[in-house]
Amino acid sequence: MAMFRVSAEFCEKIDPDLLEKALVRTIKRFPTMALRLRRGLFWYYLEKIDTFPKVIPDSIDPCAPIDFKKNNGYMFKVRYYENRIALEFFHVLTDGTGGVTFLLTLCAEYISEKYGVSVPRGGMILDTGDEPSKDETEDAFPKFARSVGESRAEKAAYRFRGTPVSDYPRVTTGLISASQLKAKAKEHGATVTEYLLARMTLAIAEISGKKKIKKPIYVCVPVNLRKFYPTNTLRNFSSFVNVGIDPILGEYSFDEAIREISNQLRYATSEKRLNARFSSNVHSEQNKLIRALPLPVKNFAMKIAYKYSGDRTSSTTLSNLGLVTLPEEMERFITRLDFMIGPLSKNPFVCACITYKDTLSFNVVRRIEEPDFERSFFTSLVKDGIRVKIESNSGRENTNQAEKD
Amino acid sequence: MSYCVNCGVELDASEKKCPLCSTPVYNPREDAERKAAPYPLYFENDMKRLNRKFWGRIAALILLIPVLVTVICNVFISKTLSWSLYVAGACALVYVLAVFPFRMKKKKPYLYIVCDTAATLLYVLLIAALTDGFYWYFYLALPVIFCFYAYIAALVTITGNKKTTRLIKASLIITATGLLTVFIDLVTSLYVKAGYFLSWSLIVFGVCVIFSVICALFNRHKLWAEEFKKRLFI
Repeated sequence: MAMFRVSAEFCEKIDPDLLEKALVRTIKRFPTMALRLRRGLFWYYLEKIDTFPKVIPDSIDPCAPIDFKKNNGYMFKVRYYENRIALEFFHVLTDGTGGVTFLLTLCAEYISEKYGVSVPRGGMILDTGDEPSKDETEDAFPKFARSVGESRAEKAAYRFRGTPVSDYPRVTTGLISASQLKAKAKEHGATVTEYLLARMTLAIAEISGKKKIKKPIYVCVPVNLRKFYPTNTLRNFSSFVNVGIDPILGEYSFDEAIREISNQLRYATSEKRLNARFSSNVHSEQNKLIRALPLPVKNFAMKIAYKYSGDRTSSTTLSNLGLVTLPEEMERFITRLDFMIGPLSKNPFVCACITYKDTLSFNVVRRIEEPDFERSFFTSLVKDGIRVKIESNSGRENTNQAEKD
Repeated sequence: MSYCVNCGVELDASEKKCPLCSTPVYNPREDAERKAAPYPLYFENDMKRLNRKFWGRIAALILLIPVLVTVICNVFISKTLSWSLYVAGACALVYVLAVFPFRMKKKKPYLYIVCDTAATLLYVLLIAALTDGFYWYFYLALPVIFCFYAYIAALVTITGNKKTTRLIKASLIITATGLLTVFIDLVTSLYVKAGYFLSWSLIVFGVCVIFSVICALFNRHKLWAEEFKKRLFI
């Protein structure tokens, strides 16, 4: 289950009662979030939920799959822990941008509830007094799709392996100095994403160096399509591209990797290429023959399709939500933002990042024991002179260790 | 604030060892800086999956349906238990072969093989008893079944060994297959002609030995293998 999590850290402890009040006000503004997944004869469909969601305490396993029935049908959870409000949601509801919009609106409501400060609305912070507009709930994919699609077939990427964890996924967060990172990326003539992607692919190549990698190392980079099309949709509207290096061709230096990746990324993220990519999905969805297939057949076919072209075509993922700027009234209270995604079936670890103030918070969620990738990746940044602060959800291990001592 | 002496990254005050390399953090001023861990210890585990045992139980119940139907038909129509025993036996065999492994928490291949052997032997014994064919059972079925499962056990052992290379594995599997044919030939000739004669299996075994030796040789001489790969390059 593809899960996302966005969270905001406040300067003070969270009050769950006020948070729940704020949530009730926020959810009314976001009809696209208060939906339940139902099974039809031919399709899954979404149905409005009339009850209000509850806030729940945070747990040690962020991005865990949600049992919808236990969660009153809701496909998201709002959690709190100490100073943090976190929103975990299923990808069916919306993408990262939609999630951040919901979280920031919720935070704005919470701030006005708790501190009595009125936060100016606009951008990613919606006004809960407004009625939800029609274009926010539209499905933008068919609206902007064109008649020509592109084949979805892609080369299989190198698959990273390790010992599966027995309990919950491990989260490692690197708080990276955004200004230093930006300066370094500029030195190499690249964007921050390109710089991070080059470091990531080289880290994977370095760990797997002893084994001969026979497949390319590709990183899946989600792309926000709202930048290319005039839409305000709060539903899913993102695509992805797979970029990376091919170690079969030889050992890459850092500059070579960055050049390769930035060329690929710039080529693949043109409006035309992206459109062709999602247009072929829309065509499949609108195909009359496919529409008439019963849901179990569709599910079975999708399972097979996923096996051959799902996360098989990427070694890992890097979802970068970019820089988030907040109005001064909110900035006073919110100290940090985080973004993470849950690991996929063949990608044992996935990365996501978001920048707020001068901190790029880089989250790696993995379901294998070995932290080799994180170590190789973060130390490569440190070696490059970028400040990195690490924290993790290894609290249990720490306490177990303490008990043993 | 502490830094990992090994990785050079700054560590959050809640970390007692570096999450990247497990190096313990030693900071004499640790107590002064103690801070809440970034995540609670509470583990929600929302999606407890239905385990294999559950599906094993369901499959067992479904297998009971044909047994029940045939036994009832058999008893009510011909007033005896005759042909329905074949169905019951077959269902029991299917259970042991296909369902039983799902009822275990961990995979235990050798246990499965032992149980499969016993179940197959029992089922064939049932057929033998119903058709009065103990002669073929003891002289043909019993040794062949034993030999077949011994072969399966050998395959499991060979493929499960992590230290041997692929070529050696292939060599051993080919040899085992050759041996299986020799043994089957022996048993059948004993049954049909009442004597130890090897015929067709010698050809198979000979070919197997040659291929097995080739695999072993290629394993020894890496250069040969590479040369071979180059020549056969498509």
